[in-house]
Amino acid sequence: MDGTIGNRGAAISIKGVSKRFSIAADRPASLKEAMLRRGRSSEQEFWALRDVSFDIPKGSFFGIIGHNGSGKSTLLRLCAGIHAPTTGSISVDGRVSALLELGSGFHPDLTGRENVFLNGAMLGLPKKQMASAIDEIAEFSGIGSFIDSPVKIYSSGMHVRLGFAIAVHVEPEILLVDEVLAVGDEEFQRKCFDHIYALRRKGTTIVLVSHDAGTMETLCDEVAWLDHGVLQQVGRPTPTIEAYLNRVNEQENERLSDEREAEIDQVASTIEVDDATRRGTGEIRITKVTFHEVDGTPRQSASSGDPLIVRLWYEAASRVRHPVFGIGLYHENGTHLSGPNNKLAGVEQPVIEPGSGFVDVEIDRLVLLPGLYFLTTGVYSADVLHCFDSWDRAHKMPVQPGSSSERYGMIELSTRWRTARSTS
Amino acid sequence: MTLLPKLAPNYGPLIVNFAQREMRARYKRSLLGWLWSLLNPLSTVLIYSLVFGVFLRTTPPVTSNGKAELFAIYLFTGLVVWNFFAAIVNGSMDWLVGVMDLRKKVFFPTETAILGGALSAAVQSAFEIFVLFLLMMGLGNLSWTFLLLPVVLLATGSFALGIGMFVAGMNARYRDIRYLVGIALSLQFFLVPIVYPIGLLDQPDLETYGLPAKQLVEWNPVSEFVQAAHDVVYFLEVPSPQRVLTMLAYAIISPTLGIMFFRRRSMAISEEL
Repeated sequence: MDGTIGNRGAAISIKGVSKRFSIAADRPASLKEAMLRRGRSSEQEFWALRDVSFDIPKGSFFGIIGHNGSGKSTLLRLCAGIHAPTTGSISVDGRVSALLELGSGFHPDLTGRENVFLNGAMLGLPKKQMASAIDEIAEFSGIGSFIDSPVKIYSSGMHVRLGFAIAVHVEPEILLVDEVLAVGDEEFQRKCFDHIYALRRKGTTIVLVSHDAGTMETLCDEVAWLDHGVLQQVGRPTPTIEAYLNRVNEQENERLSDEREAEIDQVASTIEVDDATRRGTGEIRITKVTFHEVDGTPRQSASSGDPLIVRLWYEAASRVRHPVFGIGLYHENGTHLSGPNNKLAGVEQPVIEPGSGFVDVEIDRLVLLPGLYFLTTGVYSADVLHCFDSWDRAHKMPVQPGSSSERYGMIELSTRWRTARSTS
Repeated sequence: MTLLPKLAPNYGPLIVNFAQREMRARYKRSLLGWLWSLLNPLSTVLIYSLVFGVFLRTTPPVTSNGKAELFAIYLFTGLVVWNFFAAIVNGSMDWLVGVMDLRKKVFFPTETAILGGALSAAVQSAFEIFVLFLLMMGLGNLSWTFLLLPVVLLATGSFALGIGMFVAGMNARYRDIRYLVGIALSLQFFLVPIVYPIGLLDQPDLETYGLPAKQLVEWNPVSEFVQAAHDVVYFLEVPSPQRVLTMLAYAIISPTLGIMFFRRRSMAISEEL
């Protein structure tokens, strides 16, 4: 036995444990269904734990950490004997008391006192021992005369307090705790921790499951880290928790950058928003809008005070003679800021043959201040009387801080400021 | 390293706890409460006596003291055994389902619920034995063999527990089992010499329509227990060694197989119910 703390052996030894749950929403509940379904396996499987092995040394304060769905609570349930592992084995040396969830193990119709005896009996304790502990339990939980009322009328706080009081007063050799310490008022929490420390001094093995890195690091002698049912690391708390937190940060960053990419995709391509915002006969259409540096490098947003190229990608279904391309610029609050087109700028487009291409709109200096803007795109006939395509505010244009030093309002007014001159 | 807990926990208190709960729940909110434990069997005896003794004129065998009178006494003797048997077989399914919510949150061996329920059924039987004792005393048909009745019931209970664990384990998976058991028990009741003397099947003019009626009754395990009760209470004699051995075999084999099946299923049961 290679117990890490002392040489006292393992309180709980987990060997190659896997746990499969069948997602039993449509498990056959009657013989008829079972017969009808024979041969067709409709049960979906879910592996909560995969090949987990480690020892929990006797007398240690052991933490199991992981995000939601990592299998940590399942593992604790297996240790408590509530479920059996699908493969592998768990050997437990000592009497286990478990605090798994709110009011765990209470029968709602029985009184608090009866439940105390029931819980003791479920742990295999003689009635006499529970009888001598009952006053202490009532006192510790602070539920007073409610001890003789049915548990179903208890508040959730009373549930937890009584549950905790029982769990720690049955003198367990191994105490399993699943995040319930987070419940209850501060005073009760402090009382709980005091009691847990006292148990620990007496040599009780304590296994705590949590995703709270801070608590785990201060309390535990050893920590196991689970991720998606697979054991990642087990050992001293600081390095294990650090590794766990690093993974959490990594994932958070990935998630953020995924979100950002998704947003950028929206910026760079035409979103099929609402057809009500689009009109025109469709001989030529603007399919997407992209933003570029002066040298043509694509960029995901515009920056305030810097040059920008807005590229309008078109697809012509038929030959179009000298169309007029235009954009409308809107602030996100709906204010129409500007509406340039190539005709107004004195540029004539050539005859456009069927196919695709783009038109660049070069802006020497973007006078928009940081914020979110929307672009309307449009293509009209040479006389601007017929609309081929107009798509109202279908393209996002985020403007980020750039070389502009201005901060207030929507646009930069190129201003020169003089120093004060006295007139008196 | 020890693989098992050093001391097996003593689940006696838990069994008693479950038994108390069952008994308390049985006559909760009833005015007569425990009196029903006596009134129920008595009313059954009256009804069956009326039907079989008066309308159908079934003749009971002669008692040991030579007074072949009350069919009710013969009937009641058999009913005490039957009630105990049926209560355990039927109850096991409910007792198991009743503790499943608890079992999902705390570990304890689920067979304790069935044992606790059986214990509560045994208490009910004790009432009935007491009533039977008073009746027999009043009739003067009493001997030391009456003391063997609890032993016969113990064997009956043991046999019933094996079947109870089997059906409870099956019922956890398929709730049809409850109904099948209900049907099987109603049939079984008439395949056991409770409402008729076993000698009825020896009548030469008995028309069985090709059914092995006699074999179904004679080879029926429950018949052995019921007849043993008739032996010790009604005829006031010690059952034959053959009958004693048969009962012993039933009382050992049934719970052994039952608990084996139940233990193998019990972990899966906690995820199914």
